[in-house]
Amino acid sequence: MPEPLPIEAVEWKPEIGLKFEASDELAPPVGVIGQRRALAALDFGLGIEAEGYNLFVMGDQGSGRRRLVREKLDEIAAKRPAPYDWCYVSDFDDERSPNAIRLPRGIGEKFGDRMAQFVADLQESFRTAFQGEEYRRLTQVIEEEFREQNEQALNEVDQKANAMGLAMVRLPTGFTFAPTKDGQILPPEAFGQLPEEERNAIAANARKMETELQRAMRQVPTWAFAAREKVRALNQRTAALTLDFLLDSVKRDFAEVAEIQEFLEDLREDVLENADLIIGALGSPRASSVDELVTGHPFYRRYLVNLIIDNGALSGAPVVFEDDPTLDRLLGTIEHRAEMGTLQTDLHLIRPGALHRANGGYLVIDARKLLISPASWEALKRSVFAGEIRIQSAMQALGIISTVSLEPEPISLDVKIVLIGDRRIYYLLNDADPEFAQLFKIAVDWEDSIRLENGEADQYVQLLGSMGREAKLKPFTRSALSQILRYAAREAGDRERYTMQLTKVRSLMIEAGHLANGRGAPRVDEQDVASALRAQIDRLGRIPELVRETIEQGVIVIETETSVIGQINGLSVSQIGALSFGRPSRITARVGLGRGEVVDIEREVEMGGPTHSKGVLILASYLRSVFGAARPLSLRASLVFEQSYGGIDGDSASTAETCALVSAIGEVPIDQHFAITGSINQRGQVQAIGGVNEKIEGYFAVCEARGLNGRHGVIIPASNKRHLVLEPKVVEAVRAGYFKIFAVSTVAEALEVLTGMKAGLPDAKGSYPEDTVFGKVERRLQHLDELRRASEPRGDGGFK
Amino acid sequence: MTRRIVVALDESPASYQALRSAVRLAAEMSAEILALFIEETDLFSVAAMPYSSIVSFEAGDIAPLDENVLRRSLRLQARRLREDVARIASDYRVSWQFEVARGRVCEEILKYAESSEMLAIGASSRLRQRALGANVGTILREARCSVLVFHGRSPAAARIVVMSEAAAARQIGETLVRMIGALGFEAIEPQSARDAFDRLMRLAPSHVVTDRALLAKIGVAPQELVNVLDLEALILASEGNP
Repeated sequence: MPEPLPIEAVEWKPEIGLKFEASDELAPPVGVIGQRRALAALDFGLGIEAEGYNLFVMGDQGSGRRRLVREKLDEIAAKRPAPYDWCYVSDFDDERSPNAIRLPRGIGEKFGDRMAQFVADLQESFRTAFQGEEYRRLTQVIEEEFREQNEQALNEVDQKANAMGLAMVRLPTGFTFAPTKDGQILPPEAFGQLPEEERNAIAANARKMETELQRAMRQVPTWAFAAREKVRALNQRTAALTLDFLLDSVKRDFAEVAEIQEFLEDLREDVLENADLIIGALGSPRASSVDELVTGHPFYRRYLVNLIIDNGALSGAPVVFEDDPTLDRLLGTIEHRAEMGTLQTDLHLIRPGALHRANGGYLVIDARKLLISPASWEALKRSVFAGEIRIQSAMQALGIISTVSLEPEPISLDVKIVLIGDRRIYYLLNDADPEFAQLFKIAVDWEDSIRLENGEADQYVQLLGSMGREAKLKPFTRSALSQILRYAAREAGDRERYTMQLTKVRSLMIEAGHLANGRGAPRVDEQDVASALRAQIDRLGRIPELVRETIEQGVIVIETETSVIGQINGLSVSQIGALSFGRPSRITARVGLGRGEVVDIEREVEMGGPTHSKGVLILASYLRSVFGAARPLSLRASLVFEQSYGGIDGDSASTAETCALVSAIGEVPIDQHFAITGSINQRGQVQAIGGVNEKIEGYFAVCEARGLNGRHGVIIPASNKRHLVLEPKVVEAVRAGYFKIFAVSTVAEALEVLTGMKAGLPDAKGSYPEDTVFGKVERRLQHLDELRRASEPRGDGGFK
Repeated sequence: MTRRIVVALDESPASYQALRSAVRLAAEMSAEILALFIEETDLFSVAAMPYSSIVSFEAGDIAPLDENVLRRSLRLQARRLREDVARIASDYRVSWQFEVARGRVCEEILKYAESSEMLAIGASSRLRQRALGANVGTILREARCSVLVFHGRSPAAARIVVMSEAAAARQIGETLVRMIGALGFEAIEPQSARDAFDRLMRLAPSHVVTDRALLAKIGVAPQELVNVLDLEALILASEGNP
């Protein structure tokens, strides 16, 4: 007969090798704990310089992936050179496509400032040049020339007219010619009295003069044009003189950058082409600062530089963590300004994105956030594949807004992308996106928990110490840390592992620290941790409590005493949000005459999941292999999870179901003090299941509420022994002999515990002794077979 | 009795200068403005000629000219001037009248000037003067009140205008200044300045307001100017004092 686990096997305390009283004596951990594989992958992936060697760091949320990636990147990036500066400048031939200029690091800012200064100087110099006396005198000469030309032409006509005895008279809208006498205009009456020939001669002369005047006046526009051309030529000369003086010094300052030289050449041409416009704007109010210049007259804006990446202050390669990888924040964006009711933009409204900032270095993005940001994933891939950043707004791509916009020249991109996400996303992308594997060749698989070997337990303790210090908590006593380690093991679900979901651990520490502060203690002790844990459980405890209550009230029927045939307490784990808790479920089996079917009622009504169905099929197969070798199983058995309404899955009840079935067939009562968990294989071996601690604790809670009498207990798979990290009160009950835990390897062992009867071993003929469980099953099956044979008409083929 | 400044107007820049100065003076002296627009009878004589045509300023188009065409264009001009007078006078809160008279320009101006404190006129280029049918010299000789004559548009001329106004404002109410010839120089070339100086000599003003730099340019010493012109006062703009 199997024996219950001794207290030594039930109770588990973490071993702490380090000597210390409280956590403030602990040294910080050296390096990273237990992530050999991930670290190697990270080192390799970050070190390799080739296309497609981007990284996907997968692991659970809060496991310190991000922190380690940051540390690693900072370390590597510091050894690499800082990349170039980038700026956008006007393309004077195509204003919609500003040119990108790559500048040696630190030159960008100088260039930007220099150009701002240049524009301010240009404005001032133009003002001086074009509003000065010298320029005014020259233009006045041109104007005067024009006026004189004009007047001279009119005067010539006037003199000719005078010679003919005509006066050129100015009227509001034009000139006319009138005959004069003695310097006075001849009155009409006097004119009428002149002889006809004379009158005709005067009229003819007037006609002649009119035509002549007309000819003279029609030349005026030509002269005006010539005068304007002269002014224009003067403007060009003056502008070129002023401009070259300023420009030459800028050119000298940036002699080593060919692209700047080219830009300055284009700029020179543009300024001269637009000299007249610039001169026209001189009257507008002066800008008092560079900002005002930028927002001021468009003609000055176009000569300024938009420095989008300034790496002047950077000492190594950039490391950028983009927490909000929307398309705009990734690729950069082109902003718009509302002007007179329309949206306007220019190169100064180009804003860099994360790719710009990370160019020449590393960009770290949360994979999930990247995938849920519309268009971001495709844009990122496109950029990396193309090796360039092309700013494209989602709005524009979708045609939602259509305003004046720009197509800035793409910037060449050289960046290593590090995605951080959980495994599901990694495998999903691998599956669904053929480009993913091409682009993310290095998988960094993060351990969720670490194995306690090679002194890693000690390092873990040191890590806890550091975490406490970082969170500015009071020191933890040795026993408090032991509690936390217990929690870490429990979270890992294994005595030989500690969880790497450090955020959970950190939360517990913070909560315990808070309690310690509350009672004004100098150190956080065991009780604080225990209270914090209890409080955590209690906060989420409404539903488990409700379940236990309904069990206590008998609404959910669970027997924890007496013995019953074909009925057993199974154990299940429910998960609600962050909480998982165990509870017993009654499983019953019934048999009747039939042809060897085992009916899984859960499956019949489609409330059982595939794994559950598989478990039932395995147990049926096991029964057939044990009892059906000699004769057909002439029974029909049904299995049901009583009072299950939500559906079940998992095969952890298959041992329980087997026992219930065996009990029902052999009519051997099962001791209801016990609950059992474990999956079964076709050979009747009991295999490990998950959530063993929650299950035990769930059943314990029910028994405890009803009153422990020393006979209560649970049966678990032997292979789950190492996972036992139980609540202290369970451990105490075991120690006091009120509660037993049996660890079994086979169904036979379980049956022996449950029935108090030997399971039985087959003799040479394959028969089982009569006073064993299997013996009784065999007798019953024999009996059923006889009944079936008797009930069937002869000649029927029946079972072979 | 309210004092009155008469401004004779056409659309020349000098004429507008005269209007603005007169309005400013009127504001200072609490005088009122009488803006005068004269429909020169000579023009009607010309229009009445059987053959007469008009060559337009804009494109040099030739169109027949008759009395109706003339009257219409004069009325239009008068309306524009009236609006400008109203606008400029109201800027300085000066009360104003606008009168249209028909006759010989010189005669009409002198007639209105008789019952006024001061007369402001713009002296335009020769062609314009001809159109007025007027002769600034005649007016300066025969007017019984102060006469402000405005020339040209140069900055120097503008400075001189300011000085003239100041001088006129001071002298009015004491001895009645018979004439103030404001010497402005349309061009800064020495030759045209010399011409302007000769013109000024013919006007025989009692006071001259001018710019020292301009005098230097034409090579005339201030004292010489006083002697030659037998001036009562010479006001030099650059020094700001008579």
